[in-house]
Amino acid sequence: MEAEPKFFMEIHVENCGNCVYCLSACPFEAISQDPETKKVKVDPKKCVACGICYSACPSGQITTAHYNIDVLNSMLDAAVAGNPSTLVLSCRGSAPERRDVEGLWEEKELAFLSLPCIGRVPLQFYIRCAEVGLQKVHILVCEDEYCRMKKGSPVAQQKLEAARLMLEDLGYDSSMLDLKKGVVRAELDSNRCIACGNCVWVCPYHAPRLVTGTAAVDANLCKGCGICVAECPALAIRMKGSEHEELMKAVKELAAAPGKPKVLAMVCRWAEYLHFDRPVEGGALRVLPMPCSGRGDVLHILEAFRNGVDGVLLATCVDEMCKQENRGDKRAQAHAARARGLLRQLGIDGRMRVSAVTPKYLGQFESEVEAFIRELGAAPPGGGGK
Amino acid sequence: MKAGSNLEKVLSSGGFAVTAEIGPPKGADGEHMRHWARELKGKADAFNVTDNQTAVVRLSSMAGSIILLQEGVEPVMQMVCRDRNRIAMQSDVLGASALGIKNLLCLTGDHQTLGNLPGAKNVFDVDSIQELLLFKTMRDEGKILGADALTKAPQLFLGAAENPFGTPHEFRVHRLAKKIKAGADFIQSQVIYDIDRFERFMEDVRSRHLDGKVHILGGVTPLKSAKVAKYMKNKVAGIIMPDSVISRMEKASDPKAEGIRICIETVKQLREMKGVHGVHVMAIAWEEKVPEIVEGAGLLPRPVV
Amino acid sequence: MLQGRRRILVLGCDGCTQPPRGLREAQTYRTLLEMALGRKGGEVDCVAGTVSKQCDTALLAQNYPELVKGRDAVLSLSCALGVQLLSLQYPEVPVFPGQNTVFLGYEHRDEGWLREACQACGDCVLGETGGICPVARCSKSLLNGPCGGSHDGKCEVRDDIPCAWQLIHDRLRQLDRNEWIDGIVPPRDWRSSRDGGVRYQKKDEDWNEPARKEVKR
Repeated sequence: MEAEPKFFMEIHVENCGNCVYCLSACPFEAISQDPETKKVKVDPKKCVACGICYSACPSGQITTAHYNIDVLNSMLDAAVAGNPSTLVLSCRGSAPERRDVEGLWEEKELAFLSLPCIGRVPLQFYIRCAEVGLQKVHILVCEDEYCRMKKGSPVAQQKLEAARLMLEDLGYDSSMLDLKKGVVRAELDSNRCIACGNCVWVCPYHAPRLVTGTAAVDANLCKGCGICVAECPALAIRMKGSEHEELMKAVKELAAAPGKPKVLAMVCRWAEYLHFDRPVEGGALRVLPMPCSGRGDVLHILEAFRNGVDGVLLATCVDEMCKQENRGDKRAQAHAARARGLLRQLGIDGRMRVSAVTPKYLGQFESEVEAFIRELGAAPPGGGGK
Repeated sequence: MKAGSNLEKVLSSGGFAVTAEIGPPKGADGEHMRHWARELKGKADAFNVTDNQTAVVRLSSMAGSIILLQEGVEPVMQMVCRDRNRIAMQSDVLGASALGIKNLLCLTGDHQTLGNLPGAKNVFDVDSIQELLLFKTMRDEGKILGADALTKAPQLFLGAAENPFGTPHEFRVHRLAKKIKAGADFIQSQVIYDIDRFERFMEDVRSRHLDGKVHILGGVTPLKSAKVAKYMKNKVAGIIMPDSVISRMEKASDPKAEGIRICIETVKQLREMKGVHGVHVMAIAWEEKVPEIVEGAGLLPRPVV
Repeated sequence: MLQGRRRILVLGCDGCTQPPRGLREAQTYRTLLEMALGRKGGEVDCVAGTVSKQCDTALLAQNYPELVKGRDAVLSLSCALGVQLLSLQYPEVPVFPGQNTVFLGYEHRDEGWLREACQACGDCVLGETGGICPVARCSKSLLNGPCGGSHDGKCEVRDDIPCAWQLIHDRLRQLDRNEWIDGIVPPRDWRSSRDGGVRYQKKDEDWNEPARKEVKR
């Protein structure tokens, strides 16, 4: 019998002033107020762990395990350790990796922090940025329509305005904070496109359309999930942040690292938050974050086994959390099944695990990884790639 | 008279005809056919010899029919569309007629994937209605449809099968009309357990005046057990098995005797039905019961015409 | 099938997408081949490529000669048409089929199936049967209605095959076009199909207009 899973946040109603800012801020209507007792509570089913309520609460009565102010402060300290004067704070939806912001601003030396939704960042953090001596904080949020958490970007912008005012009051230069909006979108090369219609069919947002002789992606509708990139039979679609060649390279790097068993985890960025911030130890586990678990495709899985990886874990969102209308996890399962079948033809038992996890309950990803590693250790996979 | 076969004469004279089936063996075993010919002689007006029924390889219908003829028993040769193209079919018909076979039943045939050689190639050059058309042309016009005249036309009494209980329901009487137009002289129906449904079918037939154009023989098969009855209800397409029949079989102290009794009752009911001109007794793997059934329904002795 | 070959070209085809078999498939199979051949030791040099269509000599000539240089086998992912034309055009390298060409069919995306719908019989009757082909979709290619094995709209061969004649009957009733239900369709001339001999069409000077073939009856 497993222990009751621990929900990641708590509203401390005993000291809550019932201002219901959290209730009105929540984009998913997960917080409600009891009409009689006037106490607020959160519905775990509706909550998506966006963190917006955390930054909304003016009296600090919401605690969260994900990116609370203490965590954010230590992340900030680590990021500015080399004394750069500029910080880039970006949302994982539009710029999850440092290389994704290269060239967007003039400064060469940048401290970099990427979070799942900037809307969760409380006012104190921006003040702290000034306190640690930063001259500039470039905030990169997703475009409003693009925001996965529905209201994350507008909330971040509001926080920014409030932060500027407070910085002024405290005697800092309020223009040290500025904001840009970003997106990551699928880029379709018409010259390579064979007009098969697969992307049209598979896109949860109906962004691609078939026009004469090619498909074309409506940029306004594309949410950068990458499912079409994985499904395109002509490899005609690219997407920044999860380019095919980069993923292949990452796979090879894992294979070269020491440690056994080697597990490659292809993880949806929204299914698991914490691990990205922990250093990888011993080479036994390498995490490849993706905009959606449906992005990781058969070629990457095969490449992993070919290079001596012992197991591939695909971490998908749980049903109600999948931002891609449940297609992401189905695609991941289909890819795993296909890869398994192909490897079986070679007599290779490709050990794969598809795990549905959510940041709402703590420790799920770790348990899945541990269980998988135990499984691989108990019955080592036969048939190698090399 | 189209062919002057015994069956034709009985039907033309307005009598209630009886046909039965002798299933050929899975071997080059002429003795099997001879045995049943002797056992059942005189118990029916003609005996169907099936053609690789359920797509299982058996002694051929033509050979089986010839053996029956040799024993002085009249055969109804069967020919399915599954295994032969129009060249082979018409060639076989000329041969059959030359050897004295007069009754010929035209059927589509069960798909070969259901039989014991599922890898065999599909023929189905023509369907059963086109088959009737071909044979009718040979008989009445003395030529091959679309080709040469024959030196001698075959003499044939042509039959077809119909399933009054199949789907689309609405289409069954329609299909019957097509078969008649294509050349069917007599029809043997799928086995009947639900006499009321069959009566409804016959109402449709009569309302279209088809009973005056073709001789319909109702099919019957005696049940051996309640298990068989249930199997037919659930697993065999195109048979309607009323729960009342299953119930009778379950409650009977001697199911086999009950099965025979039900069969005889059905035959008697068919005799009373307007537009039904005979009965076709299919006692598959139970041929020895044919005499009892025919006698029990008061249909013995068979008329000599 | 590819026994003893080490320098294989896996060639995809972008000509049709049922199912897709272009560059991605070619790379997938190349990876698998390298994994399989690599285990046996020795040098392995496989490449993956694609062409827009494998069933057209002009399109093959555009890309193919460079791709095939130095290869000791080609694994073609196209349908049988491409495999055969490749073999014809480039006889020096053995060409192997990467898949079995199974049928001519259409794809229903929502319901997720590809269904056989054409037998290339050369004498199309879809206009008379309400757009449902009795030659391809009836397991017995009947032309005068269903056989006795049709039950609940399903074919006797397998439950997942709808009875074509049930479909045709329903459609013709819906369209109130009853010629093929009421009338008798005579035996068919199968010469327009493969039964008449292997088929062939010569294209005349106007490249867009295939020569009309006279069918003698």
